[in-house]
Amino acid sequence: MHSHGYSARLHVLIVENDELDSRLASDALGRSALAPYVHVVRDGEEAFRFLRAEGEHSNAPRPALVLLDLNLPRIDGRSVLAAMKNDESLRAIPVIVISTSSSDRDVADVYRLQASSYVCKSLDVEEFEQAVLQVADLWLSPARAVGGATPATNKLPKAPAS
Amino acid sequence: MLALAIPAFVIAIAVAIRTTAAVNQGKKEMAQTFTINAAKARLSRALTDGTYVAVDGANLDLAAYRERWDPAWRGVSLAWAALRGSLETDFATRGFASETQRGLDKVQSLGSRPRGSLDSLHVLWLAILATHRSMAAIGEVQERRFQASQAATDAATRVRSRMIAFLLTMSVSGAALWFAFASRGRKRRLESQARLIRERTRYRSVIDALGEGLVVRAASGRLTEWNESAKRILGLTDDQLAGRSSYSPEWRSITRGGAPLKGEDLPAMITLRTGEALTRVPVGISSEDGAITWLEVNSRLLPPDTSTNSEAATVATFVDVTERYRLDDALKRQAAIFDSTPDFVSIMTTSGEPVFLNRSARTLLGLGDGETIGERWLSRVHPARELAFLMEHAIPQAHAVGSWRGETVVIDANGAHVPMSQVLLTHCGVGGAVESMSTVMRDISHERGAMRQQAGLVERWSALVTLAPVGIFETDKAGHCDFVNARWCDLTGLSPAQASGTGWSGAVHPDDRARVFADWDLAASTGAEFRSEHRFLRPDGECRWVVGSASALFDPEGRVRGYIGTVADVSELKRASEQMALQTLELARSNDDLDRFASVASHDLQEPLRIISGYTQLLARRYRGKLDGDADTFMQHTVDGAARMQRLIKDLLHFARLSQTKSTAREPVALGESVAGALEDLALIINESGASVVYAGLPTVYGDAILYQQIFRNLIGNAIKYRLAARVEVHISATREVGAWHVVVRDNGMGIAPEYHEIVFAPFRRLHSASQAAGTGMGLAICRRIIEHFGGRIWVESVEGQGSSFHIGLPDSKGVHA
Repeated sequence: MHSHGYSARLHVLIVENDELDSRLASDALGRSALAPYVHVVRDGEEAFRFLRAEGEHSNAPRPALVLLDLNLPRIDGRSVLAAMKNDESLRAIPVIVISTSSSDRDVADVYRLQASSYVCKSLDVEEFEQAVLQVADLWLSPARAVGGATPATNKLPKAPAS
Repeated sequence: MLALAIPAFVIAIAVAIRTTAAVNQGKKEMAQTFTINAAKARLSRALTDGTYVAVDGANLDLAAYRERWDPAWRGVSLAWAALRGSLETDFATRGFASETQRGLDKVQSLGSRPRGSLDSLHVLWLAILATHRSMAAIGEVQERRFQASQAATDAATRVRSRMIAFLLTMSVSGAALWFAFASRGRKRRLESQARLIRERTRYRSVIDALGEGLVVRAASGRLTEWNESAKRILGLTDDQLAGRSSYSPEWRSITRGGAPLKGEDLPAMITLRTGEALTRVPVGISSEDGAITWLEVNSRLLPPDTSTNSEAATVATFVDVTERYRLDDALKRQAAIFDSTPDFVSIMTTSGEPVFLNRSARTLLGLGDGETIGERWLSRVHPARELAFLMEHAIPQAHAVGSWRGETVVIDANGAHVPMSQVLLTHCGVGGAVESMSTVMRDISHERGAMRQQAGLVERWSALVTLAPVGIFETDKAGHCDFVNARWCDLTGLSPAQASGTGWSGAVHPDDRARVFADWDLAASTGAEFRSEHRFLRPDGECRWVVGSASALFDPEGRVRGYIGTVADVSELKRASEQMALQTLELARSNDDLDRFASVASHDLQEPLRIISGYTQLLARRYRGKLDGDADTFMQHTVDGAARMQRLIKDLLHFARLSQTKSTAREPVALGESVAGALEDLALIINESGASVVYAGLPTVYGDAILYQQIFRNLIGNAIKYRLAARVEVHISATREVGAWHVVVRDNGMGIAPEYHEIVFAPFRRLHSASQAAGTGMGLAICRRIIEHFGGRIWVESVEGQGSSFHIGLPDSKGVHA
């Protein structure tokens, strides 16, 4: 990987209550050649304050990508996703949903809420980090981000069938 | 000599005088009688008949004759007076007799003149009387004369003048003898004539006394003689009869069949022609007004009488049978009426022998035309028991009071016993004694059947009412109870007496009364069936839930006359259904709890699991090779254990979600596509194992595409996981059955022992340990739950070591085709 010489650093917002996952996601993004600046918030309400630059996040930058855990205290991930997609100013920000569920139904539900990608929280740390890195790179790549299309052939990592 | 003769003459004269006196006396009486008779006859018959004039003429002649002779009587001398008186008497008698005879003949020839007969008989009688008297007188004269000749002989003897005496005696005796002989001959002739008259008179009397009509016809057909009955029967006068012959059209005679009868065909004329005697030939004679007199005619030939020089004739006798024929016709009509009735009609002698059986009776007994039933018929017609009753009770009663009514049994032609109602009548003759019996019987099988049916109905009804496990009540149209069965009393704890009238309403629980009565009134006003679920509160405080229903009863005019209803105890049912509803609710709650628990637990369990696994991996990443060798192995075991636990949790979560899926939308799913999707999911292990999956002809069914795909993924995955042969072969096929699709997934794996055929479908049940084969034991449980969710079923047929066939039956009620 090599630097592309962008004038401004990319910002990625991780909305994740779990310490382990936010650390793993941050580590994964840290390995990205795009070297995005990673912000972590712990729940949905804080996520909205960050996105709208309110309160303690009044200086928050507009993220280029949001990694969103579904299982959040107070306002859960689905509500956050739905609210973002209903907000004219936030709709364009791609959202990658991170969830422990690998059920097809949950995945389908999330895409219906216009999530850009879905990453299953694998127990395998390496596997999870790779998935996050690949998907984040995909959405952070400027050419793709401008296009805004949802990758139809996105292969999702899944648990092996029982 | 003379002296001797004188006394003789004196005696003779005396004798003659006496004789003459006696004769005169008789003549005098006779004359008086005739005078009276003549006057009477003239008076009464003057207008009618010339014959009487002749009779009167005869009488007058007699009178004239007598007058002519009377002076001569007086003129004779004493001596000759005796002789001449005698002669005179003889002549007078003879003349009188002959004149009388002439008159009588005239009378006789007119014999049957209506009003003249009595007088004719009277005349006749008088004539006979007169003749008798004359005869007596003649006898007396002869006696005297004999005595006189005796006296003369004596005198002659006494005067010794034998010659004179002899002459005198001879002359007197000779004269007396001559006269005596002459008188005797005349007397005999007269007597014979009188006998003839008597016989003829008697014959006429007999003929006229006959009830039968009698006519004599000459060969010409003309009527020559007839009697009184003939006139009466034919309704014709003598004149009319005298003018009639057989050929007279006035007869208008007909045969019994009603055809006109020609003169030459009348019985008398046939007899005349053939000489044959005919008996009882029916002949109808029409009168002018059209009424028919029916005669039965006997005819017989009268041979020609040579003595009277008469020609051949016939005598016909006849009786008027119009009445009898009318009775016969009436009887025939009655018989026809009897024959037309379906009832059994029989007329019997007093001993019970049938003299008449109508058609219905003959049909019932199977008798042909003219066939008789013979003796002892009652014992053939009635069974022994009914016969005994008939003989010992019914017939005696009929004899006693004239009739008997009751029921009996008749054995018909086929030997079947037919119940009959019977009327037995006795008929008395003129003397009041029973002369015959009759019976009318009617088949009452149908009535009996109907009665039995009715009785059976009542019996069944009462049995039902008694045995029915429901309370039954009946009310009048105002709702006043007039019947409850025992079960109703059991239910309510009330007696029938307490229930009667409006008492029944007390059984209804006070809280339900208003509602029940309102429902009742509504049903009564609309004519609808009454239905109500309510409680009975028994006097002992027990409460019973019942379902009551009632419907209206109608009278023959269609008006509501009351209600009949049932009350069924549903307390147990109600309790059970309440309990079931409660259990269902609890079950649902517990299911929900379980599902929610499974869902929440699996999420919440995953978090610590990820922490254990994740940090262990971070630990391993940072310190691998920096600790001892065991530490790396331990960390690896920790990560593997967490991974397996995660799979278990995920399957549990999935299973719980399936049971929460209550109304998954059904959409057409092409099972072929589901298999293709499953193969795609399993591409990695299929490639690794080199398994061959063949499928064809799979149908489209209703359901959820994702779930069907999971079924095939599980089944194909199992086939590969539990393989036996080096090369795994899976065949998936489907067959059409009635209203269903039968899908079979067959593999050549290790198979399943029969005792596990059911167990393999239970959650978390595994036949192999985790070290032998990966898995959580939820795969088949999930399959079964999905299939059952769509109304199908799944089962396995397998022999251990010879592969397994998983069968799936899916309903095809929507008729989707492959």
